[in-house]
Amino acid sequence: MCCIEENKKRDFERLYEQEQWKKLKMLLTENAEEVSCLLTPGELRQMMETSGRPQNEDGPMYYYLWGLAQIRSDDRVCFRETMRMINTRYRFMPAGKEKHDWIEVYLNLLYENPECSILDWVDTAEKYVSIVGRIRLYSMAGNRPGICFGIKEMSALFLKDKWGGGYYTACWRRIFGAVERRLFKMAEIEYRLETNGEETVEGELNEIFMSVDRKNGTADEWLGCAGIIFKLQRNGRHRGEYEAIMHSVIEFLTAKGYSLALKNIRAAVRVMQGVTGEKESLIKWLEYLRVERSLQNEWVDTTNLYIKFMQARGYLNVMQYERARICFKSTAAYSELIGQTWLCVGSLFGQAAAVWEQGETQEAVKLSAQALTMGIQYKYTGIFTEYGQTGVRLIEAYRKMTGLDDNLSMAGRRKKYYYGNVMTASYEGYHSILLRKARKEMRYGQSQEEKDQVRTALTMTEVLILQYIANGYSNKEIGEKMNIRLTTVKTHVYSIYRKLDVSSRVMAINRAKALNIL
Amino acid sequence: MRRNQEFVICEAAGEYILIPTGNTALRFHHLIILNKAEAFLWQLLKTDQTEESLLRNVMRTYEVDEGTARKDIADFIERLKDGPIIGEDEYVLYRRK
Repeated sequence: MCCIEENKKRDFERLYEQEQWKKLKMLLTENAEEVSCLLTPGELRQMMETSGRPQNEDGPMYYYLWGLAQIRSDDRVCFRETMRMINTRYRFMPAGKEKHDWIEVYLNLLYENPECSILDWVDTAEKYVSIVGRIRLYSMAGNRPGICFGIKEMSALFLKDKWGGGYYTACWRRIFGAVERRLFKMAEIEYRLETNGEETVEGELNEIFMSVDRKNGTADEWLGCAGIIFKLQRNGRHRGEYEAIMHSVIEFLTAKGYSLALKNIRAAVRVMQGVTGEKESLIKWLEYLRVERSLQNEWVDTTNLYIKFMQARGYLNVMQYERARICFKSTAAYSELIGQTWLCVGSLFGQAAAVWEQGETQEAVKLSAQALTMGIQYKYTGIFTEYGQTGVRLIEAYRKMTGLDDNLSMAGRRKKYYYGNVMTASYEGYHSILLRKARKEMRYGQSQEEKDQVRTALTMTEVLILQYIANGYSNKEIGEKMNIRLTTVKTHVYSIYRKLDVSSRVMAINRAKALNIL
Repeated sequence: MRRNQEFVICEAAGEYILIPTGNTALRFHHLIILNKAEAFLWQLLKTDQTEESLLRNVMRTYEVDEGTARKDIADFIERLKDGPIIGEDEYVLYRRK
């Protein structure tokens, strides 16, 4: 049984083979918003070139497809020419529906252009929207799981800098309708998972997952959900959870015939399985990729960037370090070229981990320094915590190299723990939080036996404090009871959390009860 | 001019790399790779220098003609003036902070 969209793709191919260019042009224009999900950039480019260069009588959607084919196949020179053509079409047009459609197409293509930063794009869009009214974005995820790191990296919109973080949320509201606002929220959650961790999003997850219309949801919304789930499940956490949503995502993409998105989702699922120890399907998939013709060469483009990144992580997981290094190297270079900082940072750090495992420690330290220097720009932490003990060693090597540890161990200076928000943390604070998170995630990935070794017995004071916590006392009250300073209590509490591998008081109590400490 | 103290120089894999730290790391997001001669210039910039004083030091240490050395120093300063190298005025402001 075939779905409507699969039939559409077949129709495109049939018309192309029968050289019915006019009909093909019409069909492509009618389905312009879905075309990027159905056809690879190569296929689209081929079809567009045979359908013919846009003419004066062509509508905005045909120009959109023409520009899309060029930018997705990295032909920036021709793309600029197309943008100029669109610009001349709407510039002298009176305000109205037609002008709105042309501007919408112009802004959608500008969104695809890596040379335009997300901040510049929002500023440009706001100017136009004040003239023609709200617009729609046809694609944000670009067939990858997640919105924040989709076609355009959106991290800069969520930084708590001089605008206080809320400025761009307000801009976004002025530019878009309900669907894009929902996607913006998903992107923000994803960004928070990448920086501050899941403690900050706990209350919002169900709400955002429930907000997607099961029948009329868009591909971007489902991919946004998948992106959040993959971030939650990194390092083997929440294993087996959110299965119903993932099932809906796959069901939706299969029904629609969005094979490009499905490939990306399946790649991520296999890597997640590899992390949790189910390496069989991961190895089979890696072997399949190795022999598949399209991925045999080392070229990376918008279609296979995410798969290549996942392939590299998969290779790292099965200890194929040389292959991992080659894949990471190509994804790092390409993602830097298209302005995807998160992917670039992840690729550099992954490459560093692979190189470290190969014994080239100096090269690894250099690569990790590069990744960490770039990563602080958007305060990423999650991407550095996925490489277990190697990741921790790389971070420690960076600290040693830059003298961060020397500063802390200077005589007469107290060791300082940074509990706060990573977004507002200083340089030292950011690196302190990063190391703590990486160590915590490393312990999470360890076997039970290893964990038992790490979880050294709590001291008497710590057991006493744990007892007070279980009785509901606050840190201040514990300090008063034990006649010690509040900061000392906090240090003990931090130590308890670390030893029990937990992140809250409730979790500490539950874990202590399970271990028969309480 | 002198060097920004928040850049740390490290030797890794046969190259000298400048890594931004502290507050500078929050606005400067890439590493700078230096060769051996540039690393030497970087060491000199620990104290206040002019182009002429750098030139004198380079001529004393390396066997190089004046034209080449002057051009290399100018290129080096041009490359690093947006962060790693700061003017004396900026240095005074930096110390006050």
